[in-house]
Amino acid sequence: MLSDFKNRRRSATAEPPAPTPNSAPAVSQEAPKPMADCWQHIGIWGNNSCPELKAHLHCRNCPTYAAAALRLLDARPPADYRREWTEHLAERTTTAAAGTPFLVFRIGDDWLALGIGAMEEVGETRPIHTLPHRREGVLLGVVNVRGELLVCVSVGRLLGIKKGVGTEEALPGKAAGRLLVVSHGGARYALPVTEVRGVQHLVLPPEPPAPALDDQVMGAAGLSRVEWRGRSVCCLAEEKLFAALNRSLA
Amino acid sequence: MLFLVFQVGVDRYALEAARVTEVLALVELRKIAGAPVGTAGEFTYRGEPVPVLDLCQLTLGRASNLRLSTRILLLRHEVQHGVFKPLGLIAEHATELVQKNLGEFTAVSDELMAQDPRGRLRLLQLDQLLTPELRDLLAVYYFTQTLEADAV
Repeated sequence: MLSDFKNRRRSATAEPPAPTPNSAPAVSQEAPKPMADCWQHIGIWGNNSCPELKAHLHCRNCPTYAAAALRLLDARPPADYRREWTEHLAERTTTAAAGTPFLVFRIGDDWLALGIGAMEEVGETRPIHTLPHRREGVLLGVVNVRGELLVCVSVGRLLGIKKGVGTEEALPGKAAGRLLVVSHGGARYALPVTEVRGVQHLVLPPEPPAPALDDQVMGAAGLSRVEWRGRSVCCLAEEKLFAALNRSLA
Repeated sequence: MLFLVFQVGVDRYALEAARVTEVLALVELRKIAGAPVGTAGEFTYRGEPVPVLDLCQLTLGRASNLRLSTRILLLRHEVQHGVFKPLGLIAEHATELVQKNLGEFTAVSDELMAQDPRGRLRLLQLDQLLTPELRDLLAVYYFTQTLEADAV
């Protein structure tokens, strides 16, 4: 209806009015209909008389103009278009990063990595409000993350890392400390860590070798140990980590 | 939730964008020998062969029109529980995205429909479209792929 109105001026002067479909344009075997270029006549490139201009200010903001732009894609593909795309898509991409994305971080002296699926944000450290009678164990207290109180837990203590965060001497400088906000199964936790090295693509071995017997971190929630820039990083298994967390909080 | 909108003939359909890996140009397809009606062929995507079904052929019995807006939606198709394989669907007028909630789609007979400023929007239910012959073809196709991949 709207386009009928917009084309009224043009169809009165130029061509006999074409029957305009009032539903979505049907895909037909014949070539697409000539475009109704109201913007050339009553729009911004015409005489500015279109009442819709008050609302949209410029034709490029108008849905009629956008719909006309989409109709350009109803044209037949140019010669060689399909062949070029076929060749282009058949090639293997070599630039894509191999491996699984993990957030690599450090707690004490141990480098850990957790899949980014669970990660919500990395933020500044915040004051941890301790809870009465819960001085020991994994639960450090609660932190305020943008007005929401989150349970703050020490992964260091959970995994048995010796110099875990939460003990004072573990933080070498205040600027280095970060607070990870992770979520799993609807529950959100805040995890203070010593340092974050961003998202890295780590290639996990298909069959991880059995962890060393004294490797406490791997035993607690490890998936596999990988080499990353000369360091041994322990990739954590999300399921195991959160199961252990829930057990120790209960 | 984001939905990809396309047309099959004059009917507008929506498909969860999360299921779509990539929207590709309508590339040249190789025929699959002995394939049932609805299969358009196969093409090589990043070194891997992908079977392609034609939505128009499946529902209307005619091939999709060759237009710039007719594109291949590359899906992650769940063959078995937890096993995903690439599958191409040829769809006409695959040019739009809409934001909708799944709850806006209401069941009308055995279709899920939602109202939209431009008319009705049907939710594409691929499982209903796949005939037993097509399922068999896809199962055999993916199985041969894994065999060939193992051989290499």
